[in-house]
Amino acid sequence: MYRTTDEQRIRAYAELWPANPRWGVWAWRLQRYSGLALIAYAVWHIVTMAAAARQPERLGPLLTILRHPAVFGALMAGLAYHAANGIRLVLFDAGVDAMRRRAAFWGFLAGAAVIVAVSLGRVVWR
Amino acid sequence: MTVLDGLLYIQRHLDRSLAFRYNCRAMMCGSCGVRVNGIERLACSTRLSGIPHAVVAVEPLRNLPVVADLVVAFDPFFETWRAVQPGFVPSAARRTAAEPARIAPDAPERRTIDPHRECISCGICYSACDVVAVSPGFLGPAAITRAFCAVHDSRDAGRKARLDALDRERGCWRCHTHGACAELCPKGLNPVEAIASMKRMLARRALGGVVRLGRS
Repeated sequence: MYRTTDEQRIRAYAELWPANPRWGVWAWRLQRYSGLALIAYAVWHIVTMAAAARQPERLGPLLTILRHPAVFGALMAGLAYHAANGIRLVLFDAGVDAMRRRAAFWGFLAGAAVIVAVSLGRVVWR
Repeated sequence: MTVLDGLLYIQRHLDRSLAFRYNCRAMMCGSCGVRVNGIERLACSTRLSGIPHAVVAVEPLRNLPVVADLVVAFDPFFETWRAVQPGFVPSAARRTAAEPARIAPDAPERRTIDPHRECISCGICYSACDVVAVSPGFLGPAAITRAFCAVHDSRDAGRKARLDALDRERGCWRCHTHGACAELCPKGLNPVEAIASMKRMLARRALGGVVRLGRS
């Protein structure tokens, strides 16, 4: 196994200023905010759909709101981010070594962005 | 010129009352941990020319009480170490053994422990950890990494007590995998990986208990 020498490590430490060392904190905060937003959405969804079940004429305006690109895009972005980052963390805790790297976070984020784009294309702009 | 050189210049020429700690100047003793422009660094090994800002602000480490200027008291930090029994606890067989234990360089336990054992107790990870900031009493990255090394040492007999200490509310379950400790450790250690490993070990221990309960 290749290991850097102390001299190499000290030189690298002295010469490199860490870029965004607290990115993980922001990933975690976003995870919490998106989770809270999804819970709020789920409550709203249940309440409004229950009302629409009693009064079917309410369903049309509800679907118009949900299919609005901004609403649907925000919902899918929150859902995709929360799922992608959650899976990354579960894999990390399960011992998948590659998940500890920053690249894994950006990779999962890119995957989430693709899911948002495809779902927007299929549901809103079809 | 490093941040430490700058601090020494200030102390010698501008303000003789400036208080800060340093010792080895070679990134080995861990005495000169400070926050440079909000980021935890060892002052001795941070070149001023490498800082991408026009103004350099040096502050004491977070999450520890300030004694004077850049000097912090490490009592809360070492309290967390005490909680996991950082010292080697020899087993009965080891206490009476005539020969020292031999662990081969390529032994699995050595390969597990080696990447995590060079902690210099500088407190940088403790300061960088946002969970420590909001959850006083959380053991923090350094203490859990020390426990990780001891738990994987086959000569050590303090495994159960350490795992019990880690299995508490403020033990390793409190870690939210932010990873700032691993990003900023001057020795390149990865405490967040050690913490995840301890979580897995505790989960296996708990599941083992459930299985044993089912069998009895």
